Amino acid sequence: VKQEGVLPVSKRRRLLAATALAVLTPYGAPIEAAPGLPWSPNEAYPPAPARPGPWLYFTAEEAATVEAIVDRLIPADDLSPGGKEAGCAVFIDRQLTGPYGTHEWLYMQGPFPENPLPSQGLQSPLTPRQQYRLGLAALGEHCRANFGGRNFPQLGAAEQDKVLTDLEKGDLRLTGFSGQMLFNTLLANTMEGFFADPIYGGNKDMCGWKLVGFPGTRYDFRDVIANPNRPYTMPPVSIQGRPDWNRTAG
Amino acid sequence: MTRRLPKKDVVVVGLGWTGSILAHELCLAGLDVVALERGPWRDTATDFNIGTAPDELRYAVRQDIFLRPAQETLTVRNKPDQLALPIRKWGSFLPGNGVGGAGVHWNGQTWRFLPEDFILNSHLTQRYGEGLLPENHMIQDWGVTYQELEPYYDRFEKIAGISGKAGNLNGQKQDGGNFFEGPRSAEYPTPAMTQGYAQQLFTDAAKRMNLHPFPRPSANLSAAYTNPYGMRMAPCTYCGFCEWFGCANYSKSSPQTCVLPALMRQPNFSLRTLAQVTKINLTPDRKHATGVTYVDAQGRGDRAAGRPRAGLRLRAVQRAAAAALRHRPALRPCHGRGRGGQELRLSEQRQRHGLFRRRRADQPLRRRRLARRRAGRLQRRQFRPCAARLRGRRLDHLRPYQWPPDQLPAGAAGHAALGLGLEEGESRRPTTTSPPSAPGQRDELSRQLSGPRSHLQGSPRPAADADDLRLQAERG
Repeated sequence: VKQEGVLPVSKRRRLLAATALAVLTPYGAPIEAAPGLPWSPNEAYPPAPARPGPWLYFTAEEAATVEAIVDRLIPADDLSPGGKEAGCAVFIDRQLTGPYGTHEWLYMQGPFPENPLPSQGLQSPLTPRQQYRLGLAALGEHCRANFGGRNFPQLGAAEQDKVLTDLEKGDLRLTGFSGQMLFNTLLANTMEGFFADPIYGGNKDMCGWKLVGFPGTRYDFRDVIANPNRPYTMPPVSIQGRPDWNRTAG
Repeated sequence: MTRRLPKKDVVVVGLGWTGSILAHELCLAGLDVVALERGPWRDTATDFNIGTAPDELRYAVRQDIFLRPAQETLTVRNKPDQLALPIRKWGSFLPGNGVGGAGVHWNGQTWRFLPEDFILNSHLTQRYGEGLLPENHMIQDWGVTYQELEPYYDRFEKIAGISGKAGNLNGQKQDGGNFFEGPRSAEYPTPAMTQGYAQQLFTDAAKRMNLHPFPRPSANLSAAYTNPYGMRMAPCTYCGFCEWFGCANYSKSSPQTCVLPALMRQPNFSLRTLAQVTKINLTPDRKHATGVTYVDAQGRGDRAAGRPRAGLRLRAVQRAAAAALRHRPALRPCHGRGRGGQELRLSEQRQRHGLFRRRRADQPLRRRRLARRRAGRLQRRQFRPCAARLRGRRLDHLRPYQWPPDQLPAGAAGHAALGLGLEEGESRRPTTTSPPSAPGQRDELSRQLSGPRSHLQGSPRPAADADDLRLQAERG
């Protein structure tokens, strides 16, 4: 039975099978093992640490806008530093240069229908890199047109909050770009930057983890389970350790 | 250019839990086995190193070790009149990739099906009469009973070292275990895990109400254990990086910890990774499989052929269910043709988050749990200025379609009538309800616990709302 609007099964199969040929290579060499464990000592796959330095993807203007936005999403207060100081913008910049930036691991071929259902999840053809480039350009255009030639970073805090709130609600229509998509991407990436391991460039000094009492990469909690309802007092540890561990050197 | 590879007795497609145990048992039986795995080789020491394994961004958010949809995905729709679209990023379910499959990143809840599940059609008809199930429903008996499978359940639990407490040993009810389970021939191989503080509070409250709380059986081991294959496992350290992560500690049962080191030493076993099977080749009468065609990392087409033997004509070609749907000729004709995937149900789980306001001492622990379980969700009081913006937000998870009650498909109606199914993805959904206040908390808990507990609720319950507080017998 052929359904209206549904790809025929054979076409769908071809569509999905076609990708199998092309993308089997991100894992290095295939193993043809027999018998014995194909394992080498001291081999491991740690994440690549984000290095300090100039912006790798953002232009200076884009970076200033993102820094201003992350600082409104997570403003500095007496509990923690703000999003900018926590490194959220650096985190986003470094993420955009990795596989996330191009959605390299995701299925990014068509069809891309205009009105997918919310239950069908991610269905945009735009990669995160494209979302930031196009979205921030559209946002800058909107700000200059409506706030006397000023860009987003030059707006006052109340104006910035108004713009962000309108973006989130969908009240602010950017030219050629979905404001809600831009907001959702920014919000998700800001939270990731604030709470992901500092090795990725955000969560500076584990400020996000200290805020919520998250112990980081610690892995042995048998003493906690054995002593219920006691305060947990150990400081957090990241993949690269803790600042205290480095101070005694030299 | 297609190469023909040397003939083997058995080709196993996909080296996850099923593939690895099957391959090992067949090797022990003396057969030559080759396994083809579409993903890479993975082992604990290399890939789940303890220094880098607890990485939420890499594994839980960016989905590093799951099947990458760029390599293979599915199209999905929730109703026949919808446009089926590819899943671009995993949400409700997380297919594995690589040696170990989804057994690497699973959560480790290890339930047995109930005896009634195997004979569901006759059970329901016998108990509630012919009229209960709607016309054209898909519910049927499995053709195998719990009693027949029990020795194999027991065998698997011993291979995986499952931790738990029996509630029904050979028909005798056991205190502290699950009274509702089918009869077990033996106790779990390792004792139940130590229950955390929240579980203790819950257990005490439930016991005071003359209920029978029990710890869930888990593939996270409470004690050191050596399985029948000689694999040694270490006790779990309760780190919390379980689902979505590989275990660095040799504590979570997986093909890596329970089977592979033994299997890889079998002289009659060989493995090819990054080998994507594209076709099962059949005999001219299409009744038997003769081998498979796969594509390797260089894009070469290879044919791994089976050696036809008397009594064994590659009936043991084994593959993941999703892929099997695309290779129907290799499957036996089944009831309800062309409805593959219609009854797809994911693990159902009920969660309830509560705030125990009067238990202040546990705050850091509670905070840690919140931080971990509600990854990325922020508390209102911590981010006052933009609280509304931040609360309850979530990444682009594929949410389940929620059927309007009057449009339930036949099979789903049956499930809804039973209070089963339709909650796929629930366990990952954000819970944004405000926590009840302390006095209300207790009342609410009493109300829930004294309310109807049977999972035969009678009325369809289509929407998986976080507000649905009924505590059900949880199914992993």
